[in-house]
Amino acid sequence: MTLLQNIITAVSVGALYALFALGLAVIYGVAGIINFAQGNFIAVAAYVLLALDGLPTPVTILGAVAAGVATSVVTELGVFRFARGADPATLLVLAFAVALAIESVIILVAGSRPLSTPFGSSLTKPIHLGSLSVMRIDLVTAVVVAVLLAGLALLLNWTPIGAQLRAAAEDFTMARLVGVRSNLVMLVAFAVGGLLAGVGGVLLVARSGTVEPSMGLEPVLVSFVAVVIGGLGSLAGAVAGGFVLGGLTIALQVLLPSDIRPYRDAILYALIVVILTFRPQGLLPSANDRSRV
Amino acid sequence: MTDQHQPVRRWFEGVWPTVGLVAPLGLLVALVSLGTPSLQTTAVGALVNLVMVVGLQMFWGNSGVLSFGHIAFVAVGAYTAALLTIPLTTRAFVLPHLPGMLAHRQTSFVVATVVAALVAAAVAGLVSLPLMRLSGTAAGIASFAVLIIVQDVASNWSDVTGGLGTLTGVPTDLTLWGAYAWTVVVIAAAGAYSYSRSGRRLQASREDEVAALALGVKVVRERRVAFVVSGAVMGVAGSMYAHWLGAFGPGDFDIDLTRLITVMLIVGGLRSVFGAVVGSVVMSVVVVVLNRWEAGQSVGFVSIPVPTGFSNLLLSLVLVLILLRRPDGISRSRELSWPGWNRRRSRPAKNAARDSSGGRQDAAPPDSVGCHGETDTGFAFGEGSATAESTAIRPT
Repeated sequence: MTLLQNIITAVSVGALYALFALGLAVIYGVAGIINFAQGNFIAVAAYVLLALDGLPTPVTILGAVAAGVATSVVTELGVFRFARGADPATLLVLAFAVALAIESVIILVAGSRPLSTPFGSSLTKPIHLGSLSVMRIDLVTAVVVAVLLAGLALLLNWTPIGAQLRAAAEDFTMARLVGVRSNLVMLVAFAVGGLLAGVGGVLLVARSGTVEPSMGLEPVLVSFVAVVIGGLGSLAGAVAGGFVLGGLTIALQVLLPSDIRPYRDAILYALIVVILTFRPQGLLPSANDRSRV
Repeated sequence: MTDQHQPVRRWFEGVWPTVGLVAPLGLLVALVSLGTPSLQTTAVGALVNLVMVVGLQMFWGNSGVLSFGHIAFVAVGAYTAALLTIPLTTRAFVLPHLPGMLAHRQTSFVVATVVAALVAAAVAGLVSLPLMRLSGTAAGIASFAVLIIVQDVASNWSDVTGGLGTLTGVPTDLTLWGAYAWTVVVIAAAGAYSYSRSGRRLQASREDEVAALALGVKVVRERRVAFVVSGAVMGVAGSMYAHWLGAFGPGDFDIDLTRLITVMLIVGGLRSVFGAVVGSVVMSVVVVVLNRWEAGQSVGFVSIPVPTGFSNLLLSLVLVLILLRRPDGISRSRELSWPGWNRRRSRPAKNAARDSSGGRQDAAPPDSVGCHGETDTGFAFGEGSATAESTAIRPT
């Protein structure tokens, strides 16, 4: 039974990583930006959730997710739109600058100290199914991510804008040549990225009950590694990478003897380097990653 | 210009970017050395950052492959140097469980720095074996894994590193001029590397990987070489960092430092040593001024109190503006060129024509031109072009 319990935890952690990784992969695929500001979209959503405390729960959640989407879209309209075609390194530092700006605004408005909130405290209690005892938040996370992934799959596969988005992620120049409007697609990519960050932010707050200006940084950094494991530029790969990373983390946590458990992260990332040594293109490489001459 | 002058001119072209950088920097250091001790300490910190930026430039700038992991080598260098220079009596107190070999040897700062560079280079070499197999961007992001591994080991290997807490007792004997001396060494090394055959081959692969491969450049190997060399420089920076602050912990070498160094490099101009130096000097000044302002000290004539977070907001706006105006950085990623040669370079078509005709006259006396004038012209073009080195690729 503990095995099943651990698997559920692993799926839930993996789902969260997959959520963040997908948000990063959508924006990277279309715009080529290693978007460090993604973590700040998460933080904005979390702070809005805190600010709306007291309103009916669905309203606060919707407000928080909307804030994530809005921040992301404003970032694209206000900064990245003016840097089309810039060097990837320049885009990276622009993303740093945007991240710093958002973090500064949060600190100006809400202060730099962590704040706590009762939001989601009812979800951190375990529920008992027979001899199985599972944290509710784990189940909620898994379900929410599953619904979101299904919705995104529908959007990407069955709508015209989804097809354009996938085309742009595969090969941006080619997509433009066949008539995909680049500004629109970018906007949609950033909106999707913001949506995933917003939902991720709500789930993170429900899990930890605290909010701080730099709360999004660590999950996003981890998710970048997930994106690379999955195959840079591949959307399905990002999801797979997230689950692999989450699964490995929980597996090591459970399996390592207690005297070397402090080195869990070192072992985890060493394993990842080993995986990448044997599969440099990632687990599910994107089609345009193959070098053509 | 006769061809006897060519070697002299080329020597100047090679050395000038370094001399032209180091001399004004020395002037700046001399100015700062007249200031208050606290300003001098700040300046030493800025030089330490500068060394990190130049180290990162040697890899990222020449290869075009980004790296989030270089700060890991700074950490390796800092701990290595600290373990060599902390006085033995202090060491028995701060790190009581140190293995014997490390417990009883004390060296000077210079020796420790050299050892730190070697150890950091060795770690970089080991890491580069799997990492450089990855394609460009993936390698860069994956190098972040190295940073996490090093941080995790440093936080938990308490016997050797002092664990999560701060490792204290490192002698703070890095003076302003000492830091400047190391900076000069590092800038010269970076200049020499980017001018070397290996550096040129790597730059060729940065401009066009497929073309470079087709010409026989072993891209992965050249990237590994650059990774190791820049790892050594990061080790030097680590030793300087340790002897600047005297106390440090694993938390010092985190993503924040990575971001700061990256920003300095890109703002200055990724693809030139000049850009690395200019970027780190400019950003250091901006950050120090903004921090003092926020801390309530007057800066020049302004002394308006500002709320926490305001200076960072301003900093981010400055960054966005610089990058939107100058996407290639303040230096436009160019190296310094000899002032007199500037104008010639900027009008390539005319110059090439002039150079080639001049070259033809000089290279061969009129009586031997006759049959192969065309080849001579082509040759002269090659000589006149600054990038000729980058395509001088031979099977290795």
